[in-house]
Amino acid sequence: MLAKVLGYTLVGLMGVPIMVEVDVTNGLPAIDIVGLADTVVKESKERVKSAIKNSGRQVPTKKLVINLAPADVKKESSSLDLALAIGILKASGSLEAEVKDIIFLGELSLDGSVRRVNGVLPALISALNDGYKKFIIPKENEKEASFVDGIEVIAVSSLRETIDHLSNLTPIKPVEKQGFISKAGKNLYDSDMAFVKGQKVAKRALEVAVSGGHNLLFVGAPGTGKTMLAKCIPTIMPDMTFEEALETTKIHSVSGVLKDSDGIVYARPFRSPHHTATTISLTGGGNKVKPGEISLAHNGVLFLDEMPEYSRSTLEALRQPLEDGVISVTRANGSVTYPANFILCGSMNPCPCGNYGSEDKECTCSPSQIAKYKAKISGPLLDRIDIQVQVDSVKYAELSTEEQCEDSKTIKARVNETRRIQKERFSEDGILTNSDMGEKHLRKYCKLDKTCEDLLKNAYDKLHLSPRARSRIIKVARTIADMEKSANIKPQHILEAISYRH
Amino acid sequence: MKNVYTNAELCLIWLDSFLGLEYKNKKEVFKFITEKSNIKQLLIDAKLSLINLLGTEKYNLLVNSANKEYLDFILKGLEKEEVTAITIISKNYPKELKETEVPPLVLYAKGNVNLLNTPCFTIVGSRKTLAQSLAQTEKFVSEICSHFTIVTGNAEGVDSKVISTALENNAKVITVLAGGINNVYPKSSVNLVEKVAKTGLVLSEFFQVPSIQPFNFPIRNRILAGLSKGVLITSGSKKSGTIYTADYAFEYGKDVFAFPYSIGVPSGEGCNEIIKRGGILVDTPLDILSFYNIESKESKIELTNEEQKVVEVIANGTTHIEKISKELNLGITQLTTILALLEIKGVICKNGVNQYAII
Repeated sequence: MLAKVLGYTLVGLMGVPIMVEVDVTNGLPAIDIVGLADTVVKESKERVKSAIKNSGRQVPTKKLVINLAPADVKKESSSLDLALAIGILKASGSLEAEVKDIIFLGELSLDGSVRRVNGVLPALISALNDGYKKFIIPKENEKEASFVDGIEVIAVSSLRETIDHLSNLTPIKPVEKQGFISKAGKNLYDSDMAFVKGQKVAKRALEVAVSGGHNLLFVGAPGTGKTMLAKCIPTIMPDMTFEEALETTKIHSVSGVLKDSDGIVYARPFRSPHHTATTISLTGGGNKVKPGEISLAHNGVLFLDEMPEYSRSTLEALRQPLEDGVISVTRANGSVTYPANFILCGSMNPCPCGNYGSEDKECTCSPSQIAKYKAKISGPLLDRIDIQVQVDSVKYAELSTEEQCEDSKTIKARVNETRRIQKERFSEDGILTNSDMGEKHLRKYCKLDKTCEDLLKNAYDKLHLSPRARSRIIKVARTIADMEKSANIKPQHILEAISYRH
Repeated sequence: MKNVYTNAELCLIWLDSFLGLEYKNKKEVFKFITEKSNIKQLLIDAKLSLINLLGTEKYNLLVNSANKEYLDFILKGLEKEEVTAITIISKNYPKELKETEVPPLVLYAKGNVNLLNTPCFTIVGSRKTLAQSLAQTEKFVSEICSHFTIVTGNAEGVDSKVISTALENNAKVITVLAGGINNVYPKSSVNLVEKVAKTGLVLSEFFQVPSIQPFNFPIRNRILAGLSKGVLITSGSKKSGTIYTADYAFEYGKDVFAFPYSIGVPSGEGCNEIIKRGGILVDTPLDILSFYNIESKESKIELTNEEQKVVEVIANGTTHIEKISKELNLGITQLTTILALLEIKGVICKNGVNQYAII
């Protein structure tokens, strides 16, 4: 007898429905899987056999041929286990229920329980677009599914439960829809701006950076609080909208880093890969073309501590995604596009020994050593970092003061307002923040009056600014003007922007 | 442009091409050079003295090289690299340098040779230095460079700053290299030196050296000190090479000027030492100009009340931005604005992390 059951496999964030065809024929007992199955899928026949046996059913002692169609798509996920098991049961006649139009997702354990799989959310959304509405998924992935409208999802914890549900013995209620609850006002993060004592310059720069979506670079000796400051960036970014949260969750779901408790990512991601990270781990790729750190940081912050220590090629690979907000990972067997829209925050020492410019320690580096160290971050990459801020160590007296610092909530409210102004201004331009402005937008929205123009020219001569610095300064000045709700860029905005130069 | 050398000059160029001969040996031979000398005649005239100094073997080597082919080879090399050789008997040999104790017998020059006999002023400093000292060096160079040809080395730090500031001001500048004229060290200054060769003058005591040795630098520094009327040392630790320059300058009776530093600044200990030994303390470019009776007006920078207050606070030793903010009760944003403007006006400069200093 021939049975057909639907499964689903992902290529990047998009998916393909897989028709699992099982045929039982006479012959020596064996299971043959055809249709470009990866090792994971090939191994699944052993799991499926045991799972069926331990769920009180029998695997027919006949020859089973399983075809996974379309045969030209590589299947490389264990989420097809459940579909295979149901297919075998149908083909052997021990399950008679109708399974047409139901997509099965789930990995089987030898004892017959259904385990969580990665990428349920993107699979559901993608399948919904393909026109599928009924799903059976692992119980552990239930939360993810509760955010997708217009589908009927049954969450199961074992194969036996699935069989009982399908044959209507003990029907399971579909997963209840859970609206996206805005977590505004709730504290999602461990850090808070109020915990950072002193560092007023850095904190101000941070607010400017987040307000305009500018990338930033902290320069300071080890132990001056660069990491702590960076961790505060998500806390003052606007709350994620449902669309943003869904996009981020999709990526996290595919990578398997999604926390079960929420089912959706509420907090803006903060990713800080170590500087030994390979290019592939950052951009995404590998055999299965998984999302990299820059995609995991989508809608959040990518923090590169000790930036000059990263390999040159790894850093250079960031340039294109920083420009486009997406990364296309191309491999011989296809190309996958992952979103990668993040604020890049880097940190570095002022010199190899870390003490250059320090108030009380002497630097032991020669000028050429310092130049060499700084040159590790290339010009084109620095071009994409609008704000550079120097951080120095906080004196013990400042640490212990009870002086009230502004907390993240207050700053976030201001950031929200500044972002709103930008959104309104750019409503026709297809960009969201000042940092996205191109030359065209600069001409349109950042007209400078004569005083400002003269000031810039003076600064250019006196402070030896590079030609590249000009547009960076204007962009940041635009953000500062927005923060003060000023329609035009004024000299003081330019001046503050100049102080954030490289 | 083809340089024409007299016979006596050719003798010196020929003599100078032997790297194996020490300076004192060359000087000995130089005594025998007269206006009418040619190389062969010279070897005969100085034979006894040379054999005494070098031994017969080396003398024979010299004799073997005393032919037209060898001399042409040297001259062609000079011509190819566009280098002019200026011998101690040439008319355009710098007078200030000639009066010193051990003047180079031949100078190799690339660029505008006429600068050698203009009034020169040497400004040098160490590689490692404060940002503040660099900014002050810049200020001094731009004030002085319209009255003097600026002479300096080509190291990183102060020397490079002197060159780049002088070039920006379209001033006359001479840089003296420690190695051969085409053997620029450090490599990071190659571009700067090339620029100087175009508008100013690049000078070296050597045409070619196999490799630069540490002792080449003090040797070069005697030229730095010798070329000018006065020498300004803007920074240097106690062991810095710039101290050699000051020592030579004292020895040659030049006017030595130095920046003052506060106690405990490592890159300033040498400067303070110079002042102790009798160097002239300078804290504004006017000090130097008035020393040479050059009239100059101090350019007044107009400051608002607020700016004036900030400048005063910094001058009194509160240099960290957050401390300034506390002392004046000014918001960080407003203070940042004022500081940036003061920087553009050239009154203060960044001197370390979040710290500022008066220029």
